[in-house]
Amino acid sequence: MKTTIKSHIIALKLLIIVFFILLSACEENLINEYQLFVIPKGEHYCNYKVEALQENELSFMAILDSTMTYTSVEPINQHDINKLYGFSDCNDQHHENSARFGWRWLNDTMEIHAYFYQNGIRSSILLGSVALNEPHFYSINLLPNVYSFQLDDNPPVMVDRMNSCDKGFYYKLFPYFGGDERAPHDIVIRIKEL
Amino acid sequence: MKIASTLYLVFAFIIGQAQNIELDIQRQKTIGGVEYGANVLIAKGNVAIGYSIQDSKRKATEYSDFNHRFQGMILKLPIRACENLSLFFMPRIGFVAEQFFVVLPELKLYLPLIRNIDLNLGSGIRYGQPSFSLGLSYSPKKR
Repeated sequence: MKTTIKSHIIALKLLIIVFFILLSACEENLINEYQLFVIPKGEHYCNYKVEALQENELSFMAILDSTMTYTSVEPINQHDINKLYGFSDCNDQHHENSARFGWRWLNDTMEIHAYFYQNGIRSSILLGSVALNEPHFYSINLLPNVYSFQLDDNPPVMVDRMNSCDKGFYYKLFPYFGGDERAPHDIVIRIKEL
Repeated sequence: MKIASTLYLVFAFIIGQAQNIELDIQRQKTIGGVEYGANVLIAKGNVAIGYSIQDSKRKATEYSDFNHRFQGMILKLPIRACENLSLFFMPRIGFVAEQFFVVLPELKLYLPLIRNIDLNLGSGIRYGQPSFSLGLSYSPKKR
């Protein structure tokens, strides 16, 4: 009986070891897939997640599809900028100092904006437009005194970074609908961090 | 100064209470590539605290100042500790690139290989995605 248990334990150990060796060896990297973010109808936020930025560049590919087109109830709200992806600056709330990409569906065009807070003051700069259902490249570089936004091969757009803190918690900011209004239908966004 | 003194006293107390020391090396496969790390832990019973360092094989180039070196504190908290197989929760708290504060949770399975040496197999979160690690642990005093 004791021998049987011992052999079972050895077999279990071998199985676990082989399983982890297979996972940990072979391919150099784990496969980086597109992550799906869904903002449900009637909501502002997508699936809840907390994640820290871990390098001074946030680069990603994103696919925006027809679910991201919408008509606002109040026509003036069509000009509101929705948020795509970005981060809050060192130890600051995102309404104090942060850098994100924003998007809005305006005049049948998907506009992409640099959307940022500088010491509590919100600003945005139109970076360009993107085609639906196609992957596009987005990048925010966190430099000592500036945020550098880049969309596809367009020249980078630099904005002043007001936060002088260096060491701390930089949390990522995930897709958000609004503005004033909530998502009129389910909105699906695919993002793959590079 | 007060914080430093308090930390010093806490660590001095822990070291004074310590019954064992443990050295780990590990290879972690992450979404950002393979990383190699080492931990030095001081333990009392099955609970341990220590210093952890982990770095990537990828190096800075003229186009990118790639730096994903993690340095910080590691805790080893038992979930189930048995003679043949032990499971620990081993969160690491520290900084990446000496700038970005992170908490890296990981579950690790310890399997005794030979006297004083365990094989450890881990699964955790790195760069917000699942990661897998494989390593060896050396402890002069066997549990």
